[in-house]
Amino acid sequence: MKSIEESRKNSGLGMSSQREQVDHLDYSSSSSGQHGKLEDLFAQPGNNFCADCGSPDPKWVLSVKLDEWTDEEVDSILNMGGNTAANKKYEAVLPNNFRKPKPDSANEERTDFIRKKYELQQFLKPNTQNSSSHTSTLSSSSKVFDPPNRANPSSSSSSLEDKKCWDKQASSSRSHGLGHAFRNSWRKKEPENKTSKKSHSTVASSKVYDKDTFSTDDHMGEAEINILPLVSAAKAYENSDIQESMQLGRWIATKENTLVKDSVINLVDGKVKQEILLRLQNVERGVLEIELECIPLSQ
Amino acid sequence: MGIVFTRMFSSLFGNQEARILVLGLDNAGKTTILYRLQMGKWCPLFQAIGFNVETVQYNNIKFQVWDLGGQTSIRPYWRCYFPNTQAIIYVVDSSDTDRLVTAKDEFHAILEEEELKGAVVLIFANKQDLPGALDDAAVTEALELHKIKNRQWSIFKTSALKGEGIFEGLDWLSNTLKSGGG
Repeated sequence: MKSIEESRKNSGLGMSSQREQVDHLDYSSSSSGQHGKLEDLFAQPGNNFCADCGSPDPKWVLSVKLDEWTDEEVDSILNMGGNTAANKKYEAVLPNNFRKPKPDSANEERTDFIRKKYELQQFLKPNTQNSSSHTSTLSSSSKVFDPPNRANPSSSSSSLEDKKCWDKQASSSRSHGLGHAFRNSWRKKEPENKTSKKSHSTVASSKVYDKDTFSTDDHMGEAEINILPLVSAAKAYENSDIQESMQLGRWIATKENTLVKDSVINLVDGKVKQEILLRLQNVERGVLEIELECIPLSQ
Repeated sequence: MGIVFTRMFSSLFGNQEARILVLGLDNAGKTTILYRLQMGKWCPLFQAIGFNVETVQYNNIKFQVWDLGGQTSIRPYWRCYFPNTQAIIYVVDSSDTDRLVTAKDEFHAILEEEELKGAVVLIFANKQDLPGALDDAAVTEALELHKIKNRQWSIFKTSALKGEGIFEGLDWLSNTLKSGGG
């Protein structure tokens, strides 16, 4: 459950429903001042129910009463302004028909939702994410799963509202039997200024986990994907009048990258897609087969 | 002395990155050159469609090399790849004397591009292995290289097939980029 903890820290999330943490009985001498601030926050309306599953009187995650909180953690929670404000942000584009976990929902369902909400930030208002001058979004499907799972379609449609952003849109799913989870995040390194000698590089990082129902997910390696060739191909195609399906580009496998074979970017039925076979890093062996699609966003 | 100094300087201060476009008419040998940059790699005998891209580490510079297809129908899309480019490698089939005028026109059109204003230009007079291939002086004249203003450029005789001349050109390119050209 490490990743959940990390996501909580990263997102500054408030009272959430990770029940594994309830039994954390590490009573320690934390500052009463910090606890006082938390108690105040608790008293505010909206914070008497879990932000994620609606359970009454939530006090889990790091136990609000029992755990030691750092100043940064308390401040980030205070800055968030409580559950109502947090949900306004993290569930900004949550589809109306979306079924949030209920107080009696299984842990797996909660985990899945929390990851989507805070870690992948799938329901965040698009313009609160990293923005850039690009007019495309990426979606990915990965064959680490069987069958391949796409990112939540509702989130991809919501991202279409945004004109200029890279959307974090990754698969975080489970499939029984095979039990694999796959996470990724997009990060974009912009040159400091136009005259910078640094070349423009855009990298998508993927982490592959073995999804376990009852124990901690096992890390199965990671891969970095340079998405610049795909984006360039998609932009070139957007500006062209090409109609028929064709090969738009190719990213060549060399000793210096982790490609198993040349990765071809194809235009198929008006969609710009790239199939990639990457050797997983920081693991003994393993290959990630992934297909990326660059979706132009309507202006 | 200056070159020695810049070499020392860059080895002290680590790696630089550079985005390079390989341009030229179709059948000039661009893709073969791209594959040659990875030493010992098999050379493809296919027509490049769209682009090929690879990253090569050379002389402490990480070159991101884009080989763009040279067919007439594809050339209008070259400009999509122009932003953030530090250098252009322009490849000419030195034996294709009939199309040297077209090669010259395309070349000077590229130099006019605003987004490539600061890019260093390296010209490869390729296919020196073929009989009747013009040498670097003749290609310089045919491409009217003397017209280039406010830009660092150089021309090298190459045979992509034999792997000759390419790394000499790349040496010039990396030294020029390190010394602040581009």
